[in-house]
Amino acid sequence: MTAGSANHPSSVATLAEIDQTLSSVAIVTSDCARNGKTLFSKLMADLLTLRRGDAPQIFDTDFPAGGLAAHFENTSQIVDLNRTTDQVKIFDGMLNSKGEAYIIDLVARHHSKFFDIYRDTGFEQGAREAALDVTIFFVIDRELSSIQAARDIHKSLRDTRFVVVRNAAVGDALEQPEAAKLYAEMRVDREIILPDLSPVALGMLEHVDFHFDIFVADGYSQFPFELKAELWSFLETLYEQREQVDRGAAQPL
Amino acid sequence: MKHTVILVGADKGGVGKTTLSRALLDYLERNNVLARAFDTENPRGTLKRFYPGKAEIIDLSNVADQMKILDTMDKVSETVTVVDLKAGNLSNALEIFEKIGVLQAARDGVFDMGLLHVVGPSIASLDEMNEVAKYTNGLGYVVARNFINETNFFEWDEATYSKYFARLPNAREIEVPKLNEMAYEQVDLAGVTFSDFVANKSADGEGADFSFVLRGYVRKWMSDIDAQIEQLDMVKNIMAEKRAAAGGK
Repeated sequence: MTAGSANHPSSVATLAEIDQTLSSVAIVTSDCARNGKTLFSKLMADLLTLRRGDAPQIFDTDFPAGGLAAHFENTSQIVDLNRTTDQVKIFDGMLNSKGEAYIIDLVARHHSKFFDIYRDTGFEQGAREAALDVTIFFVIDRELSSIQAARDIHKSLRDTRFVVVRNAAVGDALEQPEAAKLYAEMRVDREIILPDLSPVALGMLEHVDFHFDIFVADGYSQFPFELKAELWSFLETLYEQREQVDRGAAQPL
Repeated sequence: MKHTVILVGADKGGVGKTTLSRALLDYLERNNVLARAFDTENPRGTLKRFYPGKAEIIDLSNVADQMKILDTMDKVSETVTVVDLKAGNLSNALEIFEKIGVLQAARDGVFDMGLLHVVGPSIASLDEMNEVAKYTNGLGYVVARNFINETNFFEWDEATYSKYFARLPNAREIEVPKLNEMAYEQVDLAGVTFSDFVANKSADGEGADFSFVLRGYVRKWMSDIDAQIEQLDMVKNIMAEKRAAAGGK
């Protein structure tokens, strides 16, 4: 399966297919910091591990700290997007890969730079030619400007699958008519809503030792029943949304 | 079709003359304009490394080599001659050309002649412009400010530069945009044209393994410098003549 098509690729591909494709890339991004982007990247990595049986390769652009990398020490690389050598490591590495799944956790301060490189190097076309399946997951924030930033990326990269992520714990500006209009203009037919979580469950998700593949295998049997139930519910909600996305189901505003 | 001679020079080394010559030759080749080149970086040659089949190393102080450029214009199939002048040799070359009547012939319309004067970041570059100005009457004179190696620490400010530039009648200016250092180095190491680097071709025309990212940087840079080159009157004339010649056929 390739990302490029005359139609928007979301209409012809499913996320289940993405998981099975030779090489796939999930770019998790946002124009703002601290809105659950790294948490979402972690969830994506866990879900991919559950589906594929092996962990995806992770590029953590939060150099030098590497927030996500701490959760996936064996499969992460902390990269500095200011360095050309690291840009080559990311983009050339993905294009030359065989059968790998990648997650790029794109720190907000490099959001513009990353997509400048993406456009300037013609990566969209390069990915198409290399049969590399790319999906951008844009976590929108609560300000109107965040929807505008999402719209700009979506507009400039028409051949790349685009999924909006709404984090219930953060909120968004979709109540505003202008924001709703912009959102509609994006013709977003795929979105994922991260349900709100209790502080305990959220703290657990953010813990470096917590992973859903271990959780599903009952690796945390000592957890209280309520916590387990909440985490199961959260996981099922995410899975269900992914299935809806797989079917191309639009989430009405 | 009238021949065009384009001199690329500077009175200082390392300001990007050869890079601009390469960009120009690349542009002409992509636009199907037959061009030849002379590399006056005698005896080693710099431009020739990138254009072995197109560039010839000459010694501009040698009369026989001057003849190679000037007495062959109406005999060769190429319609453009690019002369990459040796570092520090710009004023000297112009003086020679003035003495032997080459500049006057260009002023009289026997052929077209343009000068791309690459200026570096030093104050001396501004004085160079004054020095060169006395030769440029009736020629296409272009000041090329080179940012390719991030020469953004110009010793002179814009007001000073504008004052100098204003004294030059009919001068035009272009900017050579910045190219990612690593990309520049890799093209240099590969010894290929910018176009071949982007097309992932080695010097012998075989497939290469250049970085996708670096090729992307070079592609973007080429697009930016093309936009600068296209605005030059001398280049517009070349393209117009080419179209007219094609129409005539």
